[in-house]
Amino acid sequence: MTAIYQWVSQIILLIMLAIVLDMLLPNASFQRYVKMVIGLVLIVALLSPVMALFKMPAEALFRHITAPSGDDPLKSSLETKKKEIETETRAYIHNQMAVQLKNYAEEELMRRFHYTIVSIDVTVDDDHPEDPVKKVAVVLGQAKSDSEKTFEAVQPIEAVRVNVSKDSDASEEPGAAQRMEDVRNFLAKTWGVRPERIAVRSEEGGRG
Amino acid sequence: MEKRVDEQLSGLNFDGISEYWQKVVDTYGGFLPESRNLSFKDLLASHPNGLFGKWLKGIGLYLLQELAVNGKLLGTLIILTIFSMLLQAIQNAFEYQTVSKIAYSVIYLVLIIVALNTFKVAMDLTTTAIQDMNHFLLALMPLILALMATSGSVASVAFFHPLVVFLINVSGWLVSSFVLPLIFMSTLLHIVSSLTEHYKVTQLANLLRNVALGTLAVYFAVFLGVMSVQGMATSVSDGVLVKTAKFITGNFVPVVGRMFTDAADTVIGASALVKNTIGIAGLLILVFLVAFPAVKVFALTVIYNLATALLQPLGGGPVIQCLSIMAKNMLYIFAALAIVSTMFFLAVTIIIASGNMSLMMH
Repeated sequence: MTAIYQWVSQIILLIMLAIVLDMLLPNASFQRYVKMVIGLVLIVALLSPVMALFKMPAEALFRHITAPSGDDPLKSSLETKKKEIETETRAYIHNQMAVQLKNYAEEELMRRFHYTIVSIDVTVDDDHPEDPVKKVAVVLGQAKSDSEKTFEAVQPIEAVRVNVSKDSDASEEPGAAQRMEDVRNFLAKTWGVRPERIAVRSEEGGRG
Repeated sequence: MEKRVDEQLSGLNFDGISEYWQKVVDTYGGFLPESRNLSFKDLLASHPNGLFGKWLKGIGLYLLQELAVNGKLLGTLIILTIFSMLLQAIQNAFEYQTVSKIAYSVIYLVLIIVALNTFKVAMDLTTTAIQDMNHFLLALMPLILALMATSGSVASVAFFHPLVVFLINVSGWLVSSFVLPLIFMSTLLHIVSSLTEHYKVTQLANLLRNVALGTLAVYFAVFLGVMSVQGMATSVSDGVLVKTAKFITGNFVPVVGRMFTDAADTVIGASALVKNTIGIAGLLILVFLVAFPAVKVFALTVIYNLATALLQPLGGGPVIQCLSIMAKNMLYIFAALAIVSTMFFLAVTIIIASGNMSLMMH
Protein backbone atom coordinates (compact mmCIF):
# COMPACT_ATOMS: atom_id res chain seq x y z
CA MET A 1 0.00 0.00 0.00
CA THR A 2 2.82 2.39 0.81
CA ALA A 3 4.24 1.70 -2.64
CA ILE A 4 0.99 2.81 -4.26
CA TYR A 5 0.92 5.87 -2.03
CA GLN A 6 4.40 6.84 -3.10
CA TRP A 7 3.62 6.26 -6.72
CA VAL A 8 0.43 8.33 -6.67
CA SER A 9 2.02 11.16 -4.70
CA GLN A 10 4.89 11.20 -7.21
CA ILE A 11 2.42 11.59 -10.06
CA ILE A 12 0.52 14.31 -8.25
CA LEU A 13 3.72 16.23 -7.54
CA LEU A 14 4.74 16.00 -11.17
CA ILE A 15 1.42 17.36 -12.32
CA MET A 16 1.61 20.22 -9.84
CA LEU A 17 5.06 20.99 -11.16
CA ALA A 18 3.70 20.99 -14.68
CA ILE A 19 0.94 23.38 -13.67
CA VAL A 20 3.42 25.79 -12.11
CA LEU A 21 5.62 25.49 -15.18
CA ASP A 22 2.62 26.33 -17.33
CA MET A 23 2.07 29.50 -15.37
CA LEU A 24 5.72 30.49 -15.45
CA LEU A 25 6.16 30.12 -19.20
CA PRO A 26 5.52 33.46 -20.84
CA ASN A 27 5.60 32.32 -24.41
CA ALA A 28 2.89 30.14 -25.87
CA SER A 29 5.16 28.82 -28.58
CA PHE A 30 7.34 27.07 -25.99
CA GLN A 31 4.41 25.30 -24.46
CA ARG A 32 4.11 22.67 -27.13
CA TYR A 33 7.57 21.31 -26.36
CA VAL A 34 7.19 21.62 -22.60
CA LYS A 35 3.94 19.74 -22.84
CA MET A 36 5.58 16.97 -24.78
CA VAL A 37 8.49 16.62 -22.32
CA ILE A 38 6.29 16.66 -19.25
CA GLY A 39 3.97 14.16 -20.87
CA LEU A 40 6.89 11.81 -21.42
CA VAL A 41 8.08 12.24 -17.83
CA LEU A 42 4.57 11.48 -16.63
CA ILE A 43 4.47 8.30 -18.67
CA VAL A 44 7.74 7.16 -17.11
CA ALA A 45 6.34 7.92 -13.65
CA LEU A 46 3.17 6.02 -14.44
CA LEU A 47 5.09 3.05 -15.75
CA SER A 48 7.56 2.80 -12.87
CA PRO A 49 5.53 0.28 -10.82
CA VAL A 50 5.07 -1.88 -13.90
CA MET A 51 8.82 -1.88 -14.42
CA ALA A 52 9.36 -2.75 -10.76
CA LEU A 53 6.88 -5.57 -11.15
CA PHE A 54 8.91 -7.12 -13.96
CA LYS A 55 12.11 -6.92 -11.97
CA MET A 56 10.70 -8.41 -8.82
CA PRO A 57 10.43 -12.20 -8.49
CA ALA A 58 6.87 -13.39 -8.02
CA GLU A 59 7.45 -14.92 -4.58
CA ALA A 60 8.68 -11.64 -3.21
CA LEU A 61 5.53 -10.00 -4.46
CA PHE A 62 3.31 -12.42 -2.62
CA ARG A 63 5.38 -12.11 0.49
CA HIS A 64 4.35 -8.48 0.61
CA ILE A 65 0.69 -9.17 0.12
CA THR A 66 -0.21 -11.16 3.16
CA ALA A 67 -3.34 -10.75 5.10
CA PRO A 68 -2.83 -9.47 8.62
CA SER A 69 -2.14 -12.44 10.79
CA GLY A 70 -2.83 -12.25 14.43
CA ASP A 71 -3.45 -14.68 17.20
CA ASP A 72 -7.02 -15.80 17.43
CA PRO A 73 -8.71 -13.97 20.24
CA LEU A 74 -12.07 -15.40 19.31
CA LYS A 75 -11.13 -19.01 19.78
CA SER A 76 -9.98 -18.84 23.38
CA SER A 77 -12.89 -16.70 24.44
CA LEU A 78 -15.25 -18.99 22.55
CA GLU A 79 -13.84 -21.94 24.47
CA THR A 80 -14.23 -20.31 27.86
CA LYS A 81 -17.76 -19.15 27.07
CA LYS A 82 -18.66 -22.58 25.84
CA LYS A 83 -17.30 -24.20 28.97
CA GLU A 84 -19.22 -21.78 31.13
CA ILE A 85 -22.48 -22.44 29.36
CA GLU A 86 -21.89 -26.16 29.19
CA THR A 87 -21.27 -26.59 32.90
CA GLU A 88 -24.37 -24.58 33.56
CA THR A 89 -26.55 -26.58 31.19
CA ARG A 90 -25.11 -29.86 32.44
CA ALA A 91 -26.02 -28.93 35.98
CA TYR A 92 -29.49 -28.13 34.74
CA ILE A 93 -29.82 -31.47 32.93
CA HIS A 94 -28.69 -33.32 36.05
CA ASN A 95 -31.16 -31.55 38.24
CA GLN A 96 -33.92 -32.07 35.78
CA MET A 97 -33.13 -35.75 35.43
CA ALA A 98 -32.96 -36.21 39.16
CA VAL A 99 -36.38 -34.65 39.55
CA GLN A 100 -37.82 -36.83 36.83
CA LEU A 101 -36.25 -40.00 38.16
CA LYS A 102 -37.56 -39.21 41.58
CA ASN A 103 -41.08 -38.58 40.35
CA TYR A 104 -41.00 -41.76 38.35
CA ALA A 105 -40.05 -44.10 41.17
CA GLU A 106 -41.28 -42.38 44.27
CA GLU A 107 -44.82 -43.66 44.50
CA GLU A 108 -43.97 -47.26 43.92
CA LEU A 109 -41.05 -47.10 46.30
CA MET A 110 -43.29 -45.70 48.96
CA ARG A 111 -45.87 -48.38 48.46
CA ARG A 112 -43.50 -51.30 48.45
CA PHE A 113 -40.68 -50.38 50.76
CA HIS A 114 -41.97 -47.42 52.63
CA TYR A 115 -39.01 -45.24 51.69
CA THR A 116 -38.82 -41.81 50.19
CA ILE A 117 -36.03 -40.46 48.09
CA VAL A 118 -34.24 -37.66 49.86
CA SER A 119 -31.79 -36.84 47.07
CA ILE A 120 -30.55 -38.21 43.81
CA ASP A 121 -27.20 -37.48 42.26
CA VAL A 122 -26.93 -38.47 38.61
CA THR A 123 -23.63 -38.73 36.79
CA VAL A 124 -24.19 -38.35 33.08
CA ASP A 125 -21.76 -39.29 30.37
CA ASP A 126 -22.42 -36.91 27.49
CA ASP A 127 -20.09 -38.64 25.10
CA HIS A 128 -22.13 -41.82 24.89
CA PRO A 129 -25.67 -40.94 23.97
CA GLU A 130 -26.62 -44.60 23.70
CA ASP A 131 -25.85 -45.12 27.37
CA PRO A 132 -26.04 -41.77 29.06
CA VAL A 133 -26.32 -42.63 32.76
CA LYS A 134 -23.09 -43.63 34.44
CA LYS A 135 -23.98 -43.61 38.06
CA VAL A 136 -26.98 -42.79 40.20
CA ALA A 137 -26.46 -42.18 43.88
CA VAL A 138 -29.70 -42.34 45.84
CA VAL A 139 -30.20 -41.30 49.44
CA LEU A 140 -33.28 -42.81 50.99
CA GLY A 141 -35.25 -41.55 53.91
CA GLN A 142 -37.94 -43.12 56.03
CA ALA A 143 -41.34 -42.40 54.63
CA LYS A 144 -44.14 -41.01 56.64
CA SER A 145 -47.59 -42.04 55.72
CA ASP A 146 -50.06 -39.41 54.64
CA SER A 147 -51.85 -39.29 57.96
CA GLU A 148 -48.58 -38.80 59.76
CA LYS A 149 -47.61 -36.06 57.39
CA THR A 150 -50.73 -34.12 58.11
CA PHE A 151 -50.17 -34.63 61.75
CA GLU A 152 -46.66 -33.45 61.47
CA ALA A 153 -47.83 -30.09 60.40
CA VAL A 154 -49.88 -29.77 63.54
CA GLN A 155 -47.83 -31.73 66.00
CA PRO A 156 -44.18 -31.94 65.13
CA ILE A 157 -43.35 -33.77 68.32
CA GLU A 158 -45.29 -36.81 67.29
CA ALA A 159 -43.35 -37.04 64.06
CA VAL A 160 -40.12 -37.21 66.00
CA ARG A 161 -41.45 -40.05 68.07
CA VAL A 162 -42.36 -42.01 64.98
CA ASN A 163 -38.94 -41.47 63.47
CA VAL A 164 -37.20 -42.75 66.55
CA SER A 165 -39.18 -45.95 66.54
CA LYS A 166 -38.55 -46.55 62.86
CA ASP A 167 -34.90 -45.76 63.28
CA SER A 168 -34.40 -48.33 66.01
CA ASP A 169 -36.35 -50.70 63.88
CA ALA A 170 -33.94 -50.31 60.98
CA SER A 171 -30.80 -50.68 63.04
CA GLU A 172 -32.00 -53.74 64.87
CA GLU A 173 -33.20 -55.52 61.80
CA PRO A 174 -30.52 -57.87 60.49
CA GLY A 175 -31.95 -57.70 56.95
CA ALA A 176 -31.31 -53.98 56.50
CA ALA A 177 -28.62 -54.59 53.93
CA GLN A 178 -30.84 -57.06 52.15
CA ARG A 179 -33.58 -54.48 52.13
CA MET A 180 -31.30 -51.95 50.53
CA GLU A 181 -30.36 -54.52 47.93
CA ASP A 182 -34.04 -55.06 47.19
CA VAL A 183 -34.56 -51.33 46.80
CA ARG A 184 -31.62 -51.16 44.48
CA ASN A 185 -32.90 -53.92 42.28
CA PHE A 186 -36.33 -52.37 42.24
CA LEU A 187 -34.92 -48.98 41.21
CA ALA A 188 -32.76 -50.59 38.57
CA LYS A 189 -35.79 -52.27 37.09
CA THR A 190 -37.97 -49.17 37.15
CA TRP A 191 -35.37 -46.87 35.70
CA GLY A 192 -33.87 -49.33 33.29
CA VAL A 193 -30.37 -48.82 34.65
CA ARG A 194 -28.01 -51.65 35.51
CA PRO A 195 -28.08 -52.28 39.27
CA GLU A 196 -24.33 -51.98 39.74
CA ARG A 197 -24.60 -48.39 38.61
CA ILE A 198 -26.97 -47.48 41.41
CA ALA A 199 -25.68 -46.67 44.83
CA VAL A 200 -28.37 -46.69 47.50
CA ARG A 201 -27.76 -45.22 50.89
CA SER A 202 -30.16 -44.70 53.69
CA GLU A 203 -30.26 -41.34 55.33
CA GLU A 204 -29.28 -42.89 58.66
CA GLY A 205 -26.14 -44.31 57.21
CA GLY A 206 -27.17 -47.82 56.10
CA ARG A 207 -25.53 -48.88 52.85
CA GLY A 208 -26.76 -51.12 50.14
CA MET B 1 -38.95 -23.60 29.26
CA GLU B 2 -39.38 -19.87 29.91
CA LYS B 3 -38.07 -20.28 33.39
CA ARG B 4 -35.05 -21.99 31.97
CA VAL B 5 -34.52 -19.18 29.45
CA ASP B 6 -34.60 -16.57 32.20
CA GLU B 7 -32.29 -18.68 34.30
CA GLN B 8 -29.76 -18.98 31.54
CA LEU B 9 -29.98 -15.31 30.59
CA SER B 10 -29.30 -14.25 34.13
CA GLY B 11 -26.43 -16.69 34.39
CA LEU B 12 -24.58 -15.43 31.33
CA ASN B 13 -21.87 -12.82 31.41
CA PHE B 14 -22.63 -9.89 29.10
CA ASP B 15 -19.85 -7.49 30.09
CA GLY B 16 -18.22 -7.43 26.69
CA ILE B 17 -21.44 -6.65 24.84
CA SER B 18 -23.19 -4.33 27.21
CA GLU B 19 -20.13 -2.11 27.08
CA TYR B 20 -20.94 -1.30 23.46
CA TRP B 21 -24.59 -0.64 24.19
CA GLN B 22 -23.45 1.70 26.93
CA LYS B 23 -21.17 3.44 24.44
CA VAL B 24 -24.02 3.94 21.98
CA VAL B 25 -26.28 5.26 24.70
CA ASP B 26 -23.59 7.56 26.08
CA THR B 27 -22.64 9.01 22.70
CA TYR B 28 -26.03 9.35 21.07
CA GLY B 29 -28.27 9.35 24.13
CA GLY B 30 -29.63 12.76 23.17
CA PHE B 31 -31.25 11.27 20.10
CA LEU B 32 -32.49 8.15 21.85
CA PRO B 33 -34.15 9.61 24.94
CA GLU B 34 -36.28 6.57 25.69
CA SER B 35 -33.27 4.25 25.55
CA ARG B 36 -31.01 6.30 27.73
CA ASN B 37 -32.00 4.52 30.90
CA LEU B 38 -32.22 1.14 29.25
CA SER B 39 -29.49 -1.24 30.38
CA PHE B 40 -28.43 -4.11 28.18
CA LYS B 41 -30.48 -6.61 30.18
CA ASP B 42 -33.53 -4.38 29.81
CA LEU B 43 -32.87 -4.28 26.09
CA LEU B 44 -32.93 -8.06 26.00
CA ALA B 45 -36.21 -8.13 27.88
CA SER B 46 -37.85 -5.27 26.01
CA HIS B 47 -39.94 -5.71 22.96
CA PRO B 48 -38.14 -3.75 20.25
CA ASN B 49 -41.20 -3.32 18.06
CA GLY B 50 -42.53 -0.49 20.19
CA LEU B 51 -39.16 1.26 20.17
CA PHE B 52 -38.45 1.05 16.45
CA GLY B 53 -40.43 4.14 15.53
CA LYS B 54 -38.71 6.18 18.22
CA TRP B 55 -35.29 4.99 17.14
CA LEU B 56 -35.99 5.88 13.53
CA LYS B 57 -37.13 9.30 14.68
CA GLY B 58 -33.92 9.70 16.66
CA ILE B 59 -31.79 8.85 13.64
CA GLY B 60 -33.81 11.26 11.49
CA LEU B 61 -33.23 13.99 14.08
CA TYR B 62 -29.53 13.23 13.99
CA LEU B 63 -29.50 13.60 10.20
CA LEU B 64 -31.22 16.98 10.42
CA GLN B 65 -28.79 18.12 13.10
CA GLU B 66 -25.79 17.04 11.06
CA LEU B 67 -27.16 18.86 8.03
CA ALA B 68 -27.57 22.00 10.12
CA VAL B 69 -24.04 21.71 11.51
CA ASN B 70 -22.59 21.19 8.08
CA GLY B 71 -24.50 24.19 6.76
CA LYS B 72 -21.41 26.19 7.70
CA LEU B 73 -19.39 24.03 5.36
CA LEU B 74 -21.94 24.64 2.63
CA GLY B 75 -21.66 28.38 3.21
CA THR B 76 -17.86 28.26 2.96
CA LEU B 77 -18.03 26.31 -0.26
CA ILE B 78 -20.54 28.68 -1.82
CA ILE B 79 -18.65 31.82 -0.86
CA LEU B 80 -15.32 30.48 -2.08
CA THR B 81 -16.85 29.44 -5.38
CA ILE B 82 -18.52 32.81 -5.89
CA PHE B 83 -15.21 34.56 -5.19
CA SER B 84 -13.42 32.41 -7.69
CA MET B 85 -16.13 33.06 -10.25
CA LEU B 86 -15.92 36.81 -9.62
CA LEU B 87 -12.18 36.69 -10.14
CA GLN B 88 -12.67 34.82 -13.34
CA ALA B 89 -15.23 37.35 -14.51
CA ILE B 90 -13.02 40.37 -13.90
CA GLN B 91 -9.98 38.60 -15.24
CA ASN B 92 -9.97 40.78 -18.30
CA ALA B 93 -9.64 43.91 -16.17
CA PHE B 94 -6.12 42.91 -15.16
CA GLU B 95 -3.33 43.82 -17.44
CA TYR B 96 -1.52 40.55 -16.96
CA GLN B 97 -3.68 37.50 -17.36
CA THR B 98 -1.26 35.28 -15.44
CA VAL B 99 -1.72 37.32 -12.24
CA SER B 100 -5.45 36.68 -12.17
CA LYS B 101 -4.78 33.06 -13.03
CA ILE B 102 -2.57 32.69 -9.98
CA ALA B 103 -5.12 34.40 -7.75
CA TYR B 104 -7.71 32.04 -9.06
CA SER B 105 -5.50 29.02 -8.32
CA VAL B 106 -4.93 30.20 -4.76
CA ILE B 107 -8.66 30.35 -4.09
CA TYR B 108 -9.02 27.04 -5.76
CA LEU B 109 -6.36 25.53 -3.48
CA VAL B 110 -8.15 26.84 -0.38
CA LEU B 111 -11.33 25.23 -1.64
CA ILE B 112 -9.52 21.95 -2.20
CA ILE B 113 -8.10 22.01 1.32
CA VAL B 114 -11.53 22.56 2.82
CA ALA B 115 -12.96 19.78 0.71
CA LEU B 116 -10.15 17.35 1.49
CA ASN B 117 -10.53 18.04 5.20
CA THR B 118 -14.14 16.95 5.16
CA PHE B 119 -13.12 13.99 3.04
CA LYS B 120 -10.64 13.00 5.70
CA VAL B 121 -13.33 13.35 8.36
CA ALA B 122 -15.59 11.03 6.40
CA MET B 123 -12.77 8.51 6.01
CA ASP B 124 -11.97 8.56 9.71
CA LEU B 125 -15.63 8.16 10.60
CA THR B 126 -15.89 5.14 8.35
CA THR B 127 -12.74 3.55 9.69
CA THR B 128 -13.75 3.99 13.32
CA ALA B 129 -17.26 2.74 12.62
CA ILE B 130 -15.89 -0.39 11.01
CA GLN B 131 -13.42 -0.90 13.83
CA ASP B 132 -16.21 -0.53 16.37
CA MET B 133 -18.23 -3.13 14.55
CA ASN B 134 -15.19 -5.41 14.45
CA HIS B 135 -14.64 -5.23 18.16
CA PHE B 136 -18.29 -5.63 18.87
CA LEU B 137 -18.51 -8.75 16.73
CA LEU B 138 -15.43 -10.12 18.47
CA ALA B 139 -17.28 -9.69 21.75
CA LEU B 140 -20.60 -11.04 20.50
CA MET B 141 -19.49 -14.04 18.47
CA PRO B 142 -18.06 -16.24 21.25
CA LEU B 143 -21.35 -15.99 23.12
CA ILE B 144 -23.52 -16.84 20.12
CA LEU B 145 -21.25 -19.61 18.86
CA ALA B 146 -20.99 -21.10 22.34
CA LEU B 147 -24.77 -21.06 22.69
CA MET B 148 -25.03 -22.71 19.29
CA ALA B 149 -22.55 -25.37 20.32
CA THR B 150 -24.58 -26.15 23.41
CA SER B 151 -27.74 -26.40 21.35
CA GLY B 152 -26.14 -29.09 19.24
CA SER B 153 -24.79 -27.20 16.22
CA VAL B 154 -21.26 -28.48 16.56
CA ALA B 155 -20.47 -28.68 12.86
CA SER B 156 -21.91 -25.21 12.24
CA VAL B 157 -19.70 -23.73 14.94
CA ALA B 158 -16.68 -25.51 13.53
CA PHE B 159 -17.54 -24.04 10.13
CA PHE B 160 -18.55 -20.53 11.16
CA HIS B 161 -15.78 -19.91 13.62
CA PRO B 162 -12.84 -19.63 11.17
CA LEU B 163 -15.06 -17.82 8.66
CA VAL B 164 -16.13 -15.22 11.16
CA VAL B 165 -12.56 -14.67 12.28
CA PHE B 166 -11.60 -14.27 8.64
CA LEU B 167 -14.45 -11.87 7.97
CA ILE B 168 -13.71 -9.71 10.97
CA ASN B 169 -9.98 -9.52 10.40
CA VAL B 170 -10.02 -9.07 6.66
CA SER B 171 -12.94 -6.69 6.26
CA GLY B 172 -11.51 -4.19 8.71
CA TRP B 173 -8.12 -4.36 7.09
CA LEU B 174 -9.52 -4.32 3.56
CA VAL B 175 -11.62 -1.24 4.03
CA SER B 176 -9.37 0.86 6.21
CA SER B 177 -6.09 0.20 4.44
CA PHE B 178 -7.08 -0.73 0.91
CA VAL B 179 -10.45 0.52 -0.27
CA LEU B 180 -10.55 3.89 1.48
CA PRO B 181 -6.96 4.89 0.57
CA LEU B 182 -7.58 3.92 -3.04
CA ILE B 183 -10.74 6.03 -3.16
CA PHE B 184 -8.84 8.86 -1.52
CA MET B 185 -6.02 8.65 -4.07
CA SER B 186 -8.52 8.49 -6.88
CA THR B 187 -10.10 11.67 -5.53
CA LEU B 188 -6.74 13.38 -5.36
CA LEU B 189 -5.89 12.41 -8.91
CA HIS B 190 -9.25 13.63 -10.15
CA ILE B 191 -8.81 16.97 -8.41
CA VAL B 192 -5.30 17.45 -9.71
CA SER B 193 -6.51 16.61 -13.19
CA SER B 194 -9.22 19.23 -12.91
CA LEU B 195 -6.48 21.82 -12.23
CA THR B 196 -4.95 21.50 -15.64
CA GLU B 197 -6.23 21.00 -19.11
CA HIS B 198 -3.13 19.41 -20.55
CA TYR B 199 -2.10 16.70 -18.15
CA LYS B 200 -5.06 14.58 -17.26
CA VAL B 201 -4.83 11.43 -15.12
CA THR B 202 -8.55 10.84 -14.78
CA GLN B 203 -8.28 7.40 -16.33
CA LEU B 204 -5.78 6.32 -13.70
CA ALA B 205 -8.10 7.74 -11.05
CA ASN B 206 -11.01 5.77 -12.45
CA LEU B 207 -8.88 2.65 -12.51
CA LEU B 208 -7.98 3.01 -8.84
CA ARG B 209 -11.58 3.61 -7.89
CA ASN B 210 -12.85 0.66 -9.88
CA VAL B 211 -10.24 -1.60 -8.33
CA ALA B 212 -11.31 -0.51 -4.86
CA LEU B 213 -15.03 -0.93 -5.44
CA GLY B 214 -14.59 -4.14 -7.43
CA THR B 215 -12.54 -5.73 -4.66
CA LEU B 216 -15.15 -4.85 -2.11
CA ALA B 217 -18.00 -6.18 -4.26
CA VAL B 218 -16.25 -9.46 -5.06
CA TYR B 219 -15.32 -9.99 -1.43
CA PHE B 220 -18.89 -9.31 -0.40
CA ALA B 221 -20.43 -11.65 -2.97
CA VAL B 222 -18.06 -14.56 -2.51
CA PHE B 223 -18.10 -14.37 1.22
CA LEU B 224 -21.84 -14.21 1.67
CA GLY B 225 -22.40 -16.89 -0.95
CA VAL B 226 -20.07 -19.34 0.75
CA MET B 227 -21.42 -18.48 4.15
CA SER B 228 -25.10 -18.88 3.33
CA VAL B 229 -24.92 -22.01 1.19
CA GLN B 230 -22.32 -23.87 3.22
CA GLY B 231 -23.82 -22.64 6.49
CA MET B 232 -27.19 -24.13 5.62
CA ALA B 233 -25.59 -27.42 4.61
CA THR B 234 -23.68 -27.79 7.88
CA SER B 235 -26.70 -26.80 9.90
CA VAL B 236 -28.75 -29.53 8.26
CA SER B 237 -26.08 -32.11 9.02
CA ASP B 238 -26.03 -30.84 12.60
CA GLY B 239 -29.76 -31.32 12.84
CA VAL B 240 -29.51 -34.89 11.57
CA LEU B 241 -26.68 -35.63 13.98
CA VAL B 242 -28.60 -34.43 17.02
CA LYS B 243 -31.67 -36.26 15.82
CA THR B 244 -29.84 -39.58 15.55
CA ALA B 245 -28.25 -39.13 18.94
CA LYS B 246 -31.65 -38.45 20.40
CA PHE B 247 -33.20 -41.40 18.63
CA ILE B 248 -30.54 -43.76 19.94
CA THR B 249 -30.80 -42.51 23.49
CA GLY B 250 -34.58 -42.40 23.52
CA ASN B 251 -35.07 -45.85 22.06
CA PHE B 252 -32.29 -48.03 23.34
CA VAL B 253 -32.18 -46.81 26.90
CA PRO B 254 -35.74 -47.27 28.04
CA VAL B 255 -36.62 -45.02 30.96
CA VAL B 256 -33.60 -42.97 31.80
CA GLY B 257 -32.86 -42.38 28.14
CA ARG B 258 -36.19 -40.70 27.59
CA MET B 259 -35.75 -38.56 30.67
CA PHE B 260 -32.31 -37.63 29.51
CA THR B 261 -33.50 -36.61 26.07
CA ASP B 262 -36.38 -34.66 27.60
CA ALA B 263 -34.04 -32.67 29.80
CA ALA B 264 -31.54 -32.21 27.00
CA ASP B 265 -34.33 -31.08 24.70
CA THR B 266 -35.38 -28.37 27.10
CA VAL B 267 -31.81 -27.21 27.34
CA ILE B 268 -31.36 -27.14 23.58
CA GLY B 269 -34.59 -25.26 23.01
CA ALA B 270 -33.83 -22.77 25.75
CA SER B 271 -30.29 -22.25 24.49
CA ALA B 272 -31.65 -21.57 21.02
CA LEU B 273 -34.14 -19.04 22.40
CA VAL B 274 -31.43 -17.34 24.43
CA LYS B 275 -29.21 -17.29 21.36
CA ASN B 276 -31.96 -15.67 19.31
CA THR B 277 -32.64 -13.07 21.98
CA ILE B 278 -28.98 -12.17 22.28
CA GLY B 279 -28.54 -12.29 18.52
CA ILE B 280 -31.35 -9.84 17.90
CA ALA B 281 -30.08 -7.50 20.58
CA GLY B 282 -26.63 -7.81 19.02
CA LEU B 283 -27.99 -6.93 15.60
CA LEU B 284 -29.66 -3.87 17.08
CA ILE B 285 -26.43 -2.69 18.65
CA LEU B 286 -24.61 -3.36 15.39
CA VAL B 287 -27.11 -1.20 13.55
CA PHE B 288 -26.71 1.59 16.09
CA LEU B 289 -22.92 1.42 15.91
CA VAL B 290 -23.00 1.98 12.19
CA ALA B 291 -26.14 4.10 11.79
CA PHE B 292 -24.86 7.32 13.30
CA PRO B 293 -21.50 7.50 11.50
CA ALA B 294 -23.25 6.49 8.28
CA VAL B 295 -25.79 9.27 8.72
CA LYS B 296 -22.96 11.72 9.28
CA VAL B 297 -21.14 10.66 6.11
CA PHE B 298 -24.43 10.77 4.27
CA ALA B 299 -25.04 14.33 5.49
CA LEU B 300 -21.64 15.35 4.10
CA THR B 301 -22.51 13.74 0.79
CA VAL B 302 -25.79 15.63 0.70
CA ILE B 303 -23.99 18.91 1.42
CA TYR B 304 -21.55 18.41 -1.43
CA ASN B 305 -24.25 17.39 -3.87
CA LEU B 306 -26.29 20.39 -2.83
CA ALA B 307 -23.33 22.71 -3.29
CA THR B 308 -22.66 21.32 -6.75
CA ALA B 309 -26.29 21.69 -7.75
CA LEU B 310 -26.56 25.21 -6.36
CA LEU B 311 -23.37 26.54 -7.90
CA GLN B 312 -23.61 25.11 -11.36
CA PRO B 313 -25.64 28.05 -12.76
CA LEU B 314 -22.63 30.26 -12.02
CA GLY B 315 -20.82 28.45 -14.77
CA GLY B 316 -18.83 25.23 -15.06
CA GLY B 317 -15.11 25.29 -14.65
CA PRO B 318 -12.75 23.40 -12.39
CA VAL B 319 -14.39 24.45 -9.13
CA ILE B 320 -17.72 22.87 -9.93
CA GLN B 321 -15.94 19.87 -11.32
CA CYS B 322 -13.96 19.52 -8.10
CA LEU B 323 -17.10 19.75 -5.96
CA SER B 324 -18.90 17.16 -8.02
CA ILE B 325 -15.90 14.82 -7.75
CA MET B 326 -15.93 15.27 -3.99
CA ALA B 327 -19.64 14.54 -3.86
CA LYS B 328 -19.24 11.40 -5.94
CA ASN B 329 -16.31 10.01 -3.98
CA MET B 330 -17.94 10.80 -0.68
CA LEU B 331 -20.83 8.68 -1.87
CA TYR B 332 -18.38 5.86 -2.57
CA ILE B 333 -17.08 6.06 0.98
CA PHE B 334 -20.63 5.89 2.21
CA ALA B 335 -21.18 2.87 -0.03
CA ALA B 336 -18.09 1.13 1.37
CA LEU B 337 -19.36 1.64 4.89
CA ALA B 338 -22.82 0.45 3.92
CA ILE B 339 -21.47 -2.65 2.20
CA VAL B 340 -19.30 -3.67 5.13
CA SER B 341 -22.04 -3.12 7.67
CA THR B 342 -24.52 -5.03 5.51
CA MET B 343 -22.00 -7.84 5.33
CA PHE B 344 -21.64 -7.96 9.11
CA PHE B 345 -25.37 -7.74 9.56
CA LEU B 346 -26.07 -10.56 7.12
CA ALA B 347 -23.29 -12.70 8.59
CA VAL B 348 -24.81 -12.47 12.06
CA THR B 349 -28.27 -13.14 10.65
CA ILE B 350 -27.07 -16.19 8.75
CA ILE B 351 -25.36 -17.58 11.82
CA ILE B 352 -28.47 -17.14 13.94
CA ALA B 353 -30.73 -18.55 11.24
CA SER B 354 -28.57 -21.58 10.61
CA GLY B 355 -28.70 -22.44 14.31
CA ASN B 356 -32.49 -22.32 14.13
CA MET B 357 -32.46 -24.37 10.97
CA SER B 358 -30.64 -27.26 12.62
CA LEU B 359 -33.21 -27.15 15.41
CA MET B 360 -36.00 -27.41 12.89
CA MET B 361 -34.58 -30.69 11.69
CA HIS B 362 -35.25 -32.28 15.08
